[in-house]
Amino acid sequence: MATYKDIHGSKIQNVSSDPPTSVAGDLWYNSTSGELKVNLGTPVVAWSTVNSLNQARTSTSGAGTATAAIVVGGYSSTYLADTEVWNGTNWTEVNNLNAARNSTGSAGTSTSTLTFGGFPGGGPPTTQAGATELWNGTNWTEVNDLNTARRTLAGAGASNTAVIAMGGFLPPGTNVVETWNGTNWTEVNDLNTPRYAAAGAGIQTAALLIGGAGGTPLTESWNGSNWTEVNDLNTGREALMGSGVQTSALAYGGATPAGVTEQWNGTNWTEANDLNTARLRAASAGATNTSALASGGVPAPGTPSDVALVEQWSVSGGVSTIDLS
Amino acid sequence: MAKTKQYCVAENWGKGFIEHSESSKIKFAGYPGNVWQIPAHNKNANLWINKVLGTVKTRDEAQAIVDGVVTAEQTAWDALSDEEKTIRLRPSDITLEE
Repeated sequence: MATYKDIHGSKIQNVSSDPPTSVAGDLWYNSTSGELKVNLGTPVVAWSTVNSLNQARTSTSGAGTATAAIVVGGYSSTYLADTEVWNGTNWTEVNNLNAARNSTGSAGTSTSTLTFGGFPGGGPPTTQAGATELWNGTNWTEVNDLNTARRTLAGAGASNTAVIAMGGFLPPGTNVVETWNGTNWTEVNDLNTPRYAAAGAGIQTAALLIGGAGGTPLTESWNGSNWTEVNDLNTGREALMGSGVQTSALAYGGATPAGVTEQWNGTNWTEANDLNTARLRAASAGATNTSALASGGVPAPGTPSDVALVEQWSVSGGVSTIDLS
Repeated sequence: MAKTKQYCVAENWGKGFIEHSESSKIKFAGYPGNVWQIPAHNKNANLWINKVLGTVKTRDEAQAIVDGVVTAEQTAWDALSDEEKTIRLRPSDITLEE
């Protein structure tokens, strides 16, 4: 059998650390990590289709990452309690919320989620929910309500014991912010600009609130104590999705235009490749600005059909490890 | 003027329907009725249509499919209760680009 040297005329470099610079096609063995690595060229981030939700829905919320996510409630001809969990390949229906609703906030992981607020239905259109439910990977449990019942709010958090709920609709749009410690909600410092239909990203002590009603491009950053206005989105929009952390976030979809994707590097927003199916009011999940999941939603304001479509945002190219197993 | 967009009908089956390598090369836009807009006179777009067994439609044919879905959804929206109408906007008409 021909060896690598027979084919390429040189041996694979054996190095103790990855070279600081490399070009597409370079191959080396990192003796420290014990990994064979290759440069696959300039990294490209794009949306691709993955398996659809079992239940089409809009005005839903989600949490987790691009490979382990949860989608909670929503609306599709009726208020939904349906919950689905994503394992990176397929969606599985799991136990329902105790109270069906849409326009909730959600945060955490696919096995440790908090869902709060929303529009419970069954009452006048001004009715808001303060109800909070906690997901432990198997069941939903009702826990203490938000202090200020509201819907179309944003959430961020690493688990179901450390969450921040940002803004929302009372009516009108509010600047109220609350944090959850696993037992109770506590009101903390307000947003600078009241709003709803914004997107959240980050964790309880380091969050972002992005865009919102009226198509605002405003972005605010939370340091655990106060909100600071930071650089705006390039394209202001409402009912958009957000995910990631405070230093590496993604804002996608919304109205209008509904396909726009922007990457946040901790300082600025940069426009990136659009969603293949433009949409708003979908569930979001993701850990960084190169990894996310957009699930369900409605294709554009006033367009028909809640969708079950799911798209995954991922990167190809760059330096990759070759699996030798 | 040469057209810059083309249309086809193809059902999105999920994983593998639009792959990362395709989405990073051409711009897709999905519309109701499984209508997809992709670039015209583009090798990568044509390869994708073949892959998904898409049925190529003229712009007017695609528009008729989208209109049919939108009209049905508008009729359904009109029959909703007032409360349900506060949840979602009435589906509006969509005009596809030439």
